[in-house]
Amino acid sequence: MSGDKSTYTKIAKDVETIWKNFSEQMETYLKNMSDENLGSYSKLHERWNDYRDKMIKDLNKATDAESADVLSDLFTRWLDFSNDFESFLKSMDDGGVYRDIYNSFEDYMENISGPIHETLSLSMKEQFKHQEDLYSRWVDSWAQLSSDEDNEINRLINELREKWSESSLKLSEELMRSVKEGDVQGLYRRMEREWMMAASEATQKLLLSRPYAMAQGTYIDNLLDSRITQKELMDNYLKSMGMPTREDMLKVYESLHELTSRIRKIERLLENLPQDK
Amino acid sequence: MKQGIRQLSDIQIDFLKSVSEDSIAWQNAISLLSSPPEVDVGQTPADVIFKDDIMELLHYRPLKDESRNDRPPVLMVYALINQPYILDIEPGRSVVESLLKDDIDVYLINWGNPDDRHQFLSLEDYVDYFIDVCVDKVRKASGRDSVHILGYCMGGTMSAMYAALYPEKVKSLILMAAGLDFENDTGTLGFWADKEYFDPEKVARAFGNCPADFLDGAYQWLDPVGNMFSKFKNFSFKIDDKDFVEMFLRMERWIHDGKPLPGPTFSKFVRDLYQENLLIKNEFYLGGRSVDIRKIDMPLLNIVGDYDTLVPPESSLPFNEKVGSTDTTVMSAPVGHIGLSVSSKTHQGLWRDVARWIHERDGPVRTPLTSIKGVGEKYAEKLQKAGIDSAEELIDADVEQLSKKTGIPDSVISKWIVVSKE
Repeated sequence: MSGDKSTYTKIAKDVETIWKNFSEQMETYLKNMSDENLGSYSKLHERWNDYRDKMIKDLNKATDAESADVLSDLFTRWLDFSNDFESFLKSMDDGGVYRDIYNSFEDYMENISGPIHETLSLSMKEQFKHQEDLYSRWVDSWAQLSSDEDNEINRLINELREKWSESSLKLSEELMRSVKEGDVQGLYRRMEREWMMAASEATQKLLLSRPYAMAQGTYIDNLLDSRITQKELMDNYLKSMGMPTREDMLKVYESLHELTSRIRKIERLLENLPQDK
Repeated sequence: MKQGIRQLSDIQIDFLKSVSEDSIAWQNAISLLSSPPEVDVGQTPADVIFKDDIMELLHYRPLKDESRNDRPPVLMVYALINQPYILDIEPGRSVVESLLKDDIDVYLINWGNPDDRHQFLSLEDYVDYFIDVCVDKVRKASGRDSVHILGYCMGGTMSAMYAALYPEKVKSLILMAAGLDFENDTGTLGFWADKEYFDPEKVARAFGNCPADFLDGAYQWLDPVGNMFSKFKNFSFKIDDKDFVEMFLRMERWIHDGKPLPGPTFSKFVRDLYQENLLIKNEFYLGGRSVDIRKIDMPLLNIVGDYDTLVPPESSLPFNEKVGSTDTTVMSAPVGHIGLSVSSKTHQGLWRDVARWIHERDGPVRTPLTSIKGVGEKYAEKLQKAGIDSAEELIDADVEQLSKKTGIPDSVISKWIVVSKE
């Protein structure tokens, strides 16, 4: 990365675009909070406005920057903001906004009725139904596999059983011999070792079979579907309550990540500028 | 007849005794593992020399003479999904300690634990920013233009990507149990990750970060009998062996101390490597840039475990044939994936050989001119034009002649020589 003016300008413009997006999302996020939830965050809102104004001014300067000084100053400012913003996010993770949201969700379930309640009940019913469907599909897929006598899983399971019987037979023969020799402790250890080896070998064969991988894939797929649906339903509920959704929060995180990446690039650029002593 | 009955009875008693001993051993084992005592890990003293968000760069303190600057700097890059203290699990079984004992200057990246805020971190962020910035910090701290990189497991795969992008900063590349070729034997994990059965993007959509439990579950299930039965059975027999128990507890702590993996990194790693095998085909891209492994022209050492089922040797070794380097070496040990770093056997043989290999490839020390107090870029350029490229060469130079060639007063050059010697 060279340190000429066009590079600075390009980075600054990139930062500006991302910053504006981030700024808009942050505004939406704060607006979407109900007054009650905003409560203790109103100070943060004020501080946010201050930062936003300062950053926009600085970005305007940075766009025309010819030296690294302006970008360097921008970076310092970013660090200040970043620290504050981090505390804000942490307060959420520690049970700030999200704790309120979930408390409110609980209250809602207990006390509130009306059209939203209907919608919610429907959503919850849908959710349960969806999960029930997933579970049935999962059970069906296994049942289908098990009912087919020729299928490979059954064959492997039978093989496992056979191996088991074989090793049991072998072990009882050894038992008789060892009883004669009086080495029961040794036999007991050998028996266990053999059992573990046979079990391990047969299990590995099962795990590396295509039908097993397919069944496992279906299971994971259903599990993920269920998780995605749960998230969507929860977001729909939060939206219907006029609260910021998980998706809103993700957008903020995403913008923050993009902004951080660009800022890191600026920092690397500044670090690598040729400096004579 | 009576004797016969008594003999049978003794055997029965003996048998019952074995069962009963085992049962007691099981009970003791369960009781110990229900509330295991604290065990220390990562005990080798180190300083954090750089930190960015959750990532930190550790510099291990030398065991011997602190003032020496001729120790080859090695940056260790571990996987993103487990804790790096596996490389420093306990004294006597620590890769960090073994390398320090053999006069290697050791640095290690501790990636930290990502949370919701980090779920957009990409492989590009890790390779092109975090590893690169750490390499620069190590170059600066060691006064070297290039450093040795030792990548373990997923960290090895990422180190290979880095070496292809920034070959000029890598003195040598050491890959340890690194998955690089996913075409043939990729182990059970590779088999399950086939695109016919598994959609990595969906995991990212469902969870954001791929949860540590999700990965941990998969690892446990790779060998259910071993991980859920044999291991504990063996433990119950050796419960009176203090050293064994401590090591067992350290390993258990590590196994269950996994870290979530940011969604985009997880999905790109599974999709582009496990499913499409793009790296070794030279079709892998990072942030729009081609990762051309033919550019890996520095000495390459590939370390594999003969019994590694997680990253079988077959998924590491073909890499040596595909890189641009003409100096490639393979070292192996009769151990598994984790045994490479924690087996006492490897610390008696393998790691001594690795240290020797690094020393042989390190070459003479060349401290950059700009690290001498008072020498900036312009002076360095003048000295280089006069054939002086490092502080070591400056020390041996003829001051008078050098002054004539460069136009720099001999008093100034003499002062630099004094500083360089210090």
